[in-house]
Amino acid sequence: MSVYDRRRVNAPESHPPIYSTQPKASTSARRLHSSNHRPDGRQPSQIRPIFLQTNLIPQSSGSCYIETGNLKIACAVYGPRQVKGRQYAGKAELNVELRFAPFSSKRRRKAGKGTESPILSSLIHQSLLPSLRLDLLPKASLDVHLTVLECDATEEGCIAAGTIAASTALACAGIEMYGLVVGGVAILPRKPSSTQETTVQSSKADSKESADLLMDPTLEDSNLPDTKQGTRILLCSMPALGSTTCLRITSGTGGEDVDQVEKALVVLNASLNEVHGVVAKAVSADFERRQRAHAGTLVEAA
Amino acid sequence: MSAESCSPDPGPSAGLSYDLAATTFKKLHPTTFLRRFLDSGIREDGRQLTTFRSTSISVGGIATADGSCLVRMGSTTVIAAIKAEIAQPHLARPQEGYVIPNVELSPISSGRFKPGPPTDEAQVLTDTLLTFLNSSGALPRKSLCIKPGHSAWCLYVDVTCLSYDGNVIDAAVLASLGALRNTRLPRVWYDEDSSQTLCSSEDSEKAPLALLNAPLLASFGIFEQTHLLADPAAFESVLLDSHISIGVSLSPEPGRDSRIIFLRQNGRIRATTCESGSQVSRKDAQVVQFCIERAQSRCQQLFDLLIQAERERPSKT
Repeated sequence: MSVYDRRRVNAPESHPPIYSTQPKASTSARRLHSSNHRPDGRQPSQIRPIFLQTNLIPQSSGSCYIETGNLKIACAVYGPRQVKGRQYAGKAELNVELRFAPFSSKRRRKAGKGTESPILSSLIHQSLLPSLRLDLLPKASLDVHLTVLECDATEEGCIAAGTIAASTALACAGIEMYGLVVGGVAILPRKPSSTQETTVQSSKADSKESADLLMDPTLEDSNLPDTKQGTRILLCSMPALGSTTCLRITSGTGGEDVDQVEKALVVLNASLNEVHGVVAKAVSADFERRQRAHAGTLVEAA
Repeated sequence: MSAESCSPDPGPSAGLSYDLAATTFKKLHPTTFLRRFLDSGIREDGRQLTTFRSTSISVGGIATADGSCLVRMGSTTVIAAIKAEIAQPHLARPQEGYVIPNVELSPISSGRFKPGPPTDEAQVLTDTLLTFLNSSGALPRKSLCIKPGHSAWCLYVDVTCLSYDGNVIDAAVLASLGALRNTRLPRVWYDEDSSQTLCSSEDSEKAPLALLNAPLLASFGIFEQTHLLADPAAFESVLLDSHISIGVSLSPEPGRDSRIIFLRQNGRIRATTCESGSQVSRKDAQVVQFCIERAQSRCQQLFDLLIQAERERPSKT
C-alpha cells in the first residue's frame, strides 16, 4: 500500500494468488447460443429466486436483507431524523450510501475509497426518490445505508437488488411512499456477425426467441463472448403505479435496435411485477410481525 | 392518547401510552431506569445479571472469501471473512507471513455511526483484535511462510459489524476464529523458473490453517461499583463505569485445559453483587477470579457452539 493509513492495520503490498492452471470456468466458457442454458443452468428469461428478510437490524427504523443467488445485500434505514445546522427545507433529504464489504468480490477491495461507491449510491438514490413523499417530512433526513456482503452480479444487478432492499426497508420504517420500487436487469447479447462459425449460426436459429435476452445476469453471464459487448438495461419502477423511476441503457458496440429494446422492456416489466409480489409479501409479513409485537405489549400492559 | 398518558393509572386499553411512558423514562433517566432493573436482579432483556446473550453461529456463508463466519449475539451481528493474498515477507522477519485484522463499524449497524473513515471506537476494536490474535499465538506467522524471504501468505481478517448492540469485541473475536477455522488455502509453491508463487487450482488440495488453539473472549461490565454484568448490551455499556475483557484459549482436543491469554480492565473493579441477589462485599481479586471462572465456562460454551455450527455446514472443500 502506497499510502500509510494510521486508522487501520496496514498491510504489505500483496497480490491475489496466481493459479498454475486456469480455473475451469474460463476454458469451458460456452457460447451462449450453442445451448439454451446459462452457466448456472437457468433459462435465459429466468430470474434468480429472491429471498427477503426484514427486521435484521432491530435498532434501525427499518431494515432488510436481500439474497438472490450469491448477491447478498443488507440495508438499514435510519430516520426520519432531525438535521442540525441546515437551512429550513420543506422537504426531507434522502441520503443513500452503498458500500462493499472488503471481502465481497473475487479480488479484495481495499478499505476506504475502494469500498465506497458513489455512482451506485446515486443511482439507487435516483430510483427511490420519485416514490417517496419527502414533502411530508420537513427539516428531516432519511439515511439509507446498504452493505454488499457478497456480489456475483454486474453493477446494474447491485443497483437493482439494492433498490429492492432499500424500498422494502423504507416501507418497514413507515416512510410514506407512492409505491414500492423494484428493479431488474437484462442483457441483450450482441448478435454474432455472419462471418462466424456456421454451427453457431444454425443452433442460434433454433433458440433465437429465448436467447435474445438474458434476464438477471450474473458476472459469469455478462462475460460470455456474446454478452461482453451486449446492451445492458437497468429498469427500476413502481409496478403498482406502472411508472418507471430509473431506466439506464448502456449499449455495447454499435448500438441496439429500437424494437429489440422495446421487446426487452416489456419482458423486464413483466418480471418486475413478479418481484413486486415477493416484496409486497415480505412487507405484509413484517406488518403482521409488528402487530403481533404490539399486541404483546398490550397484553403486558394489561 | 395524550389524555391517557397523563392519567396516573393507564387502563388496559392504554397499552401504547404505557409503552411510550417506559421508553420516555428510559430516554430521560437512563441511569435510574437501569438501576431499577439491576436492583431487582434482572436486566431489560430479561437476562440474569451474569447471563450472556444467546449466540448463533453460521460458517462459510460468503463464497467470495476463503473463509467466513457470521455471529449473532443477542441482536449484535458481526460477519468476519478471510481473504488470502500473497506478499513478500517483511525484511526483518523473512520467515513469517501476515495476519491483518480490521474491524469496520459500518453506518448500517447503528444510527450513531456515519459513513467515512473508521471512528475511534472502530480503531480501538481493531487494535484490541490485533493484540488479542497476537497474544493468543493461535496462528503462528511462520506457518504462513511459502518461501523464506520471497513469498508468504497475507491473511486479511475483515470484520464487518451489521448490527451494533454492544459487546462487539466478543462477537468479532468469535467470528474471526470461526472464519480462520473455516479457511482453506490452496496448495502453493514458489516457482524458481518464473520466480513467482503459484497455487494449485485443485479444490481437493486445499488445506485448513494450522491453528494451535482456539482463543475466545468474554466481556463484563460493572455498574456503579455494585452490579457485575456479563455481556453488556449497547444501552447498558455506555452507563457502566468499568469494563473487563478476559481472553481464554482452549486447546482443540477434548479433555482440554484452558489458559488465560488476555485481560483488559479499565475503571475500578469493585462489585458488591456478583450473583443476583446476594449482597456480599468482595475484594477486587475475588471479582476478577469470579469473572475468569465465568469467562472460562462461556468460552467453552461458545467453542462448542462453533464446532456444532461447523458440523452442520461442512467447510468448503
